[in-house]
Amino acid sequence: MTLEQVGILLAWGTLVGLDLVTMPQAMIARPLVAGAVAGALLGDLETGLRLGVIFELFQYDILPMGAVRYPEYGPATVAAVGAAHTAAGALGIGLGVVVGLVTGLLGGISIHLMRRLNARAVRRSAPALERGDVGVLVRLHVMSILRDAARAAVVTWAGLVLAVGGHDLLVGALAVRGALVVAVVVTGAAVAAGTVGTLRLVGRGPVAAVKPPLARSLLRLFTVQGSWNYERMLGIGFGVAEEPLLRGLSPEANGEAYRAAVARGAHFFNAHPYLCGLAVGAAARAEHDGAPPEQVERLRTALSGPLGSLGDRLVWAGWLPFNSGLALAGIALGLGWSAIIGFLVLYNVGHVTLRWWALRAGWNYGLRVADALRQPFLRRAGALLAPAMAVVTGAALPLAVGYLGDPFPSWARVLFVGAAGIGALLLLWRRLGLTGLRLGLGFAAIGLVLAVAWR
Amino acid sequence: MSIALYRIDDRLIHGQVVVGWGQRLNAGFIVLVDDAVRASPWEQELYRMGVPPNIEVITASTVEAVARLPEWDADPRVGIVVAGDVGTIAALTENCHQVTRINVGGVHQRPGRTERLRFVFLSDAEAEQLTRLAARGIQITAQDVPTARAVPLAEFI
Repeated sequence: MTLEQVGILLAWGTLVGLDLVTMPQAMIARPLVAGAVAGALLGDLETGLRLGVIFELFQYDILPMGAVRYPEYGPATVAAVGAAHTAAGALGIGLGVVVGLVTGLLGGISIHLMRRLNARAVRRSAPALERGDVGVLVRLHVMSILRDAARAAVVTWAGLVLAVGGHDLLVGALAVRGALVVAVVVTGAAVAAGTVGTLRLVGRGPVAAVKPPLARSLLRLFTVQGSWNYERMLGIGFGVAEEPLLRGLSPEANGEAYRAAVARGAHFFNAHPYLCGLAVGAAARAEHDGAPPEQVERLRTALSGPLGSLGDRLVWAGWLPFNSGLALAGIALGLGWSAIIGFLVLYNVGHVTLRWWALRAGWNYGLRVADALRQPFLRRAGALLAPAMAVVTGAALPLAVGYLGDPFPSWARVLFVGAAGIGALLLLWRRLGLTGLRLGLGFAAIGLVLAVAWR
Repeated sequence: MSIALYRIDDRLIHGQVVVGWGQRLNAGFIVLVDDAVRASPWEQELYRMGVPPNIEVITASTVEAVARLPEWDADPRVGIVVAGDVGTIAALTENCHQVTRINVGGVHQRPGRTERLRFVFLSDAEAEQLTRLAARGIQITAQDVPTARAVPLAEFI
């Protein structure tokens, strides 16, 4: 890689890392997109798509619910593509996956540390937050977003360093067949993680009297998780998104009611980020309707869990894997860029529509927000998405296996299918407590040992 | 079947419970034990809306839950019991031999609580209450989702 290419990948990895949790969650952080664009930036789309498919399958092992820790595969995929681009053929794929898995592990650790830093910053500013100091609230949120951008840059940089180091270490040290073993077993681990992750998802079985600045609130909602931390979770982001809707609240009281409402808005809250607007709109409307503070707090508390479970079901376990499955199948069928662009457009039409509907419904219904959730389309979406996701990912997985196994010689295909099967069984064996990342790293280690021994 | 999971979680029913544990255990019903929610029909409706139609949501006060535990334990479906705080779960274990394991799933920051794990913040009184439950032979672990490690009480108290 040239220095210019490293710089371009670093910038792309930073954007990708920022998109995962902080903003705008448009899913450029999905490995399929991150990998394809990284490949295109290097003039090597095929490698980008292949690594994108492999890490998209590892991504299926993850459900980002609540305070769960998980590896970060966006910048990891960018680094993986950079690594794979430096070496040809199977060695490139093997090297790319190993670099990507280690970078994914580092990314996950960095998110955990950043959330601790966010919590510490929130704790330091707690008295100002309780006074409803909007300047402190917004500054905290913006600093957290910048912190995440710096974090994403560091993780991508570390991944690219690993890519260059891995290239220097392995190229020339492994025979072609040894490199193939590594590529095959880590690809098998990806298929195992994708299969078991999908199985886990499928399971068994009145109009406002005032015109609120909903558009400004919606824009802020795209960053609602920017200051996510273990103490208030997305409370700070909630407060930042709610603040425009609270302006003009009882101005005759010298802004006291406004500041008290801003302070309440920044208290502990967590829900699915796309449906968070429902609580933001409802809480702001309740404040305007003069609801007692305890009732507003109760409303927030009552919405936290249901909006979490509804959003996790509809989006993380439904709409996202459904679209991802379509894209995987599209790539396997040779659609290339069209599959990536189709994924981004279709997914984000649903994503932005849901965010806008949630905020408007929350504002329109206020304390009667339960009526908003009775919308027939929500029930229908919940009933249709689960089976649709199961059908699409069920069809996409074998297509992805065919696509990933295609460049391997026949003996390596047998090893690939064997690794995928054994990997799936190991992941299903609950007592082992294995995750896709651990399985991938374990298989990579075994593959490297076999490759070195088989020179 | 029986109650497969007794969980302390101040967000009560949310994604980790429905998508995480509900799918893993193939749950047929979730019992939400909370006095405030039991007294609020609109809140009960909210919690029902977050759960797929194949999982029944039963809302109970603490007193009702203590009385109905044997009935739920004899239900042929797999059940999950969720309470929002340590005190409510402790009340369920009084005079009740069925509760042998408690899952601390999410207890978040409030004044007086200190961080024990990234998703478990406890006051000294709550920590002591959990210790007393453990001394009675109840296995207590902290685990937010099924794929995470179950952390024994001794490691986070």
